[in-house]
Amino acid sequence: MKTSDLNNQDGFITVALVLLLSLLIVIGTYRVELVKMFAIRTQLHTACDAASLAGASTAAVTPADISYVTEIDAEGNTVKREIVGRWDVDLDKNLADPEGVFAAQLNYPNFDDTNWSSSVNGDEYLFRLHGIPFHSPLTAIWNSKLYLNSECTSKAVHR
Amino acid sequence: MPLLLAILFIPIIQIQQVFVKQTGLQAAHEAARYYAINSPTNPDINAVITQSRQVATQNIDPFLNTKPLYYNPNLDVQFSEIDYGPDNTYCRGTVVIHAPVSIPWIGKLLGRPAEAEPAANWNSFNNPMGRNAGSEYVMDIPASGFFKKEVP
Repeated sequence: MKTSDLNNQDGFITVALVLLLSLLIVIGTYRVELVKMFAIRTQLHTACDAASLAGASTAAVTPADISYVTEIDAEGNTVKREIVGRWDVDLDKNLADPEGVFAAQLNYPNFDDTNWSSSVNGDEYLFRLHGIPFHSPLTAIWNSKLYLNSECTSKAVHR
Repeated sequence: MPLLLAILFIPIIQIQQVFVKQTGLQAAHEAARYYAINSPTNPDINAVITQSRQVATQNIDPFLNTKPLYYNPNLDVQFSEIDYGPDNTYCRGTVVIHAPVSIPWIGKLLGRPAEAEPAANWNSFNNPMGRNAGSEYVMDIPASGFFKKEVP
């Protein structure tokens, strides 16, 4: 090889442009996928929130610790007024789960029956979506998988 | 040249689309939640709708809330009822944001003006060209949230 061949700089701009464009494509794809992931996380959060609220709303809330006070109303009549000191909450997981799943399905159309779990803790209903695969060209390149999770808890109260 | 411009600009528009979608989803979530909780107990349904629209507006990015063309709470935030089962009622809150196309003349730059697109595709989420809204090109990006109404 002659020294003049090594000093020949023809084609440098083409190579630089190809490298720059490749870099731009990768950075652009990365940013698109990152924002897309946030959007899907928002959707999952909505699904969990709606599911936990729907599940908690199935609770049977009954009055307990009732006491009565006697009062005289504006017209001078004696009336008995009921005061509920405490409400008993009966939250049945078997009733809450179908409601929770339905609400999650409405909000997250790609809902998979194997990617959710729930639990009841007293008057609280927790709904969790877990292991939701995030399909992205970038994770395909790296041959790795990315999973998203979300969970929400709602408390059953008397209204 | 159009290919180079497409490589540079389409990711920017896609980022914008997904960002607006996320903002819309968040607004629809909060608005539908507020509506579901308050509409069964408040007899003045119009007041609840107005308050729910305010809740949606609080969650819209301030940049998108600068012009009624991009976001008008009275037109772009809607609520509907969905009957499910004998005693359960779900409601749906929908927010539509008309995001300005960040590269206004991208259609022409790429040799594919928006006017050439079939009208049916104008509202497509995947159409980065947008539709001609008179003074500028916008993309209609809908988002919804579903909540069960809290019947007392």
